[in-house]
Amino acid sequence: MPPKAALFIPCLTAELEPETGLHMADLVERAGFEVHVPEGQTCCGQPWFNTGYRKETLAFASRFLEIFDAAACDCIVSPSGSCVSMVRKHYKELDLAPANRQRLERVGPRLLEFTEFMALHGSGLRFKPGGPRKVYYHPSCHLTRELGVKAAPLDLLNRIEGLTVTTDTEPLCCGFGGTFSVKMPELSAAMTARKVEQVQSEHNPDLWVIPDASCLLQIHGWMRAHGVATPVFHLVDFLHANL
Amino acid sequence: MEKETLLVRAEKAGVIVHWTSPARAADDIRAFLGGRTVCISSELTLALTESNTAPADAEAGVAPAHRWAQETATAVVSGPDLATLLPPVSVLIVDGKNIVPSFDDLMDFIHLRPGRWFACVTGPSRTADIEKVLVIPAHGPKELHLFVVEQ
Amino acid sequence: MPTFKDAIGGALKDEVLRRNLIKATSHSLRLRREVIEARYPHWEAMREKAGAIRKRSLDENAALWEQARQAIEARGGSFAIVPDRADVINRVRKELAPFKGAPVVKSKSMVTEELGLREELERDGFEIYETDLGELIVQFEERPPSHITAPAIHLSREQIGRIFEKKLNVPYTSDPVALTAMARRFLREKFLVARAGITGANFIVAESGTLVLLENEGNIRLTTALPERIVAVTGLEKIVPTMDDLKILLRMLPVSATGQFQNCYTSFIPLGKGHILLALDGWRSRLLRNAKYREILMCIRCGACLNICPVYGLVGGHAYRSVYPGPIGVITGPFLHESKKEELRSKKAEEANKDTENHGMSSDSKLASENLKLSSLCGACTDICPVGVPIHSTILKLRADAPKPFWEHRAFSAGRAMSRPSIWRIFLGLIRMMPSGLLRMAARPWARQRGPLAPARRSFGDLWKKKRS
Repeated sequence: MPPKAALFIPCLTAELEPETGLHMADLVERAGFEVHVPEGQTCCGQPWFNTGYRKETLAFASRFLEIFDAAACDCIVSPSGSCVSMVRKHYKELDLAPANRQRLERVGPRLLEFTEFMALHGSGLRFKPGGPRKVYYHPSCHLTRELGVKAAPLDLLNRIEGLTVTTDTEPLCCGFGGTFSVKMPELSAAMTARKVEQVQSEHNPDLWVIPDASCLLQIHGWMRAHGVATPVFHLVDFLHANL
Repeated sequence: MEKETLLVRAEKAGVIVHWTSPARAADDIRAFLGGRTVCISSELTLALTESNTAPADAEAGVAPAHRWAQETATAVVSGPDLATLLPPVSVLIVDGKNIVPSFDDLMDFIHLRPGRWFACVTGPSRTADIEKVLVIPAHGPKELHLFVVEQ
Repeated sequence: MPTFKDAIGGALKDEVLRRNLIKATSHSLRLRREVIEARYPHWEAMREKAGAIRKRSLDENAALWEQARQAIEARGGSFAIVPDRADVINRVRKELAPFKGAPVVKSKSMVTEELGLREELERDGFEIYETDLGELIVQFEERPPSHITAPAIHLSREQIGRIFEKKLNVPYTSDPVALTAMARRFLREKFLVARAGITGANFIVAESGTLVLLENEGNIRLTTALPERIVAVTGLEKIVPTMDDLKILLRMLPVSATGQFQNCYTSFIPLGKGHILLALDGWRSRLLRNAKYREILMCIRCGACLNICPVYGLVGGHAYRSVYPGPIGVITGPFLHESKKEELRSKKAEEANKDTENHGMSSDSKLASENLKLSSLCGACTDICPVGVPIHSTILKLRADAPKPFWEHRAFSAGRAMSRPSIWRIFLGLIRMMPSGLLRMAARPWARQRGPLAPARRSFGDLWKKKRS
């Protein structure tokens, strides 16, 4: 019996870039897992939490914990460091009902961000050569700083022959920040501008690879609006394309 | 004390090191001073024959370093010793046996002497308050010379 | 006082400011990184030790100050913990009164910026000179410092040249070497006649009552060694237990503040005869009693969080409209007394017991709440803090505790319903059905800078179902 993986598809991915979810499902299957997508997923609640509405976040946390606790699976995989860190690091700061607190204890340890999953289970996957190309990897803040996942994404990319992979010496935020991008749109965009300018001038990559849909939305959107033609991919989509 | 390390760290901190002996110290310092007017610290035990000029007017100041930490190229001087502070050229004299390996040793030295006012000095005075451009000097000395006295 | 919108908007339009900031902050960060890589491979372990020391400073605060008091008074020095701004200012005024008529020299102190001390004393007719070059520049510019350790970071050399030309009556130059020499000459003259000096404190060592001051320029040594009277003003949080603790702290502070292995001068002044130390309480002891937020007081004022903050790097310190800018400023703001009015209001609130357990927040400062928006929660500040102040998680906590704008609260409250899949589907379905023109209009604030925003034709859930059938 192959191990089971439940997929946690972030709301942004589900509604704006659903193909990424399909690609991740495919990759997880190829890693030898039976893939299952629990129905009724909505949002992890991070926008509410980050804006300071902890009581209101409970509705989302409850929903998430009920769905995923009920999902019979060995692990839960998500292509988003920010959603995973919300659950693993911040749900416990909420005033959860005792039943939900118990669910969190069961669900938390099983929840993996996609590159964490691949580091543990994906060593068997083979990728076709992808070079010679220079790839810039954007170290998303939540993934890098909150979850401490630094090497796994780079290791994955380095498995594709012919790629030169570069990243920030010090991870620089893309400027999305969730509701920050809506409450402080000019400042948020200025941060993206600075990021893009810095990366393009320092690394001049052939393409960008981004592990989180939120950052992708922000960076790709900005680039398109400002005529920067360098292609930008979600890490999952990029890997899938190189299978 | 490893001469090599001391030199390398001192150089990095902008300190110019001179090696001398108890017998030659006074002469070596005089030779270095050339004809400069000099403020001689009241704490200096070494006998210098130069006449003493007021610190605010002197071109050079000579004072003892009570300790020197190799690790960071840091001297411990007496805080209010104006000979270490006002003249543009600062000469510190340290006995070889007062050279210690680590910055931590300086903290121990100071700790054992509560009630005494000390200053740790690492290099000539500097600032980077204008566009982060390093400028030497700021308000204190422009040059720091260390004379190491050992047999 | 500009509005939040104007402060940020104005800063974002300032190209010169942006260039100055990015250049200066990148430089500081690079130097810091180089020293850590070369000298401190065990930096993380050092951070833990430093954090533990700072926690002790807070946990044992009263006892430590008592120790310091005894040591200082035994040497004939004066010491007092002063409850509020007016008190401190009065006492300093009194101490300096005999020395009016001669210049008073002052070294850099963020606590004195908090008090607006120099401005108050200048109004009383004292002639006071900031002696730190950066502080002198902003004194001439007539603006507050824009950075905790690099006060004039917002200015280019040309701008500084113009300021000196005007205030020192010298020919214009933009050469940093020449400008520094001008400042040296100008201040040397004041140093030699000053009879009183005002200083801050980097640390007070409890066991010996020693005032510890770090610098590079030599101005602090001159401010404390030349005048006959020293008035030191600091905050309750600046005390550390022992000299031994300085073995860690005096390594971390220069690295974090200026990217130096060691700063040029560190003074160890055993406070005694001729010295008075005033430790400002104000809002500090309230925050000390606040278990949820007291870690904010662990800060050693290195400014590293400012250097690494992507928001600070774009808007600079003045945009925060508060004495402490940057990430540490954002979390300190809600507790700070920016004005006498706020101080009175929060005193009244405490007396009336309206203060609930997780507050101690200074009344309902609108400015402080607005500034909580100045973060994308990237966490760089928390990572770089040498003593481990949990800065960005504190911003998160403060956002939860701060008063909410009425309509935003209503919207987020109603938005809870989106946790239900049926409502979510309906909402997204409605968006998908919107005519594209209307959709474009609704997404315009986003789209203006980041291109069009529209949901995919089919959501993941639908695609998955289709795939599996």
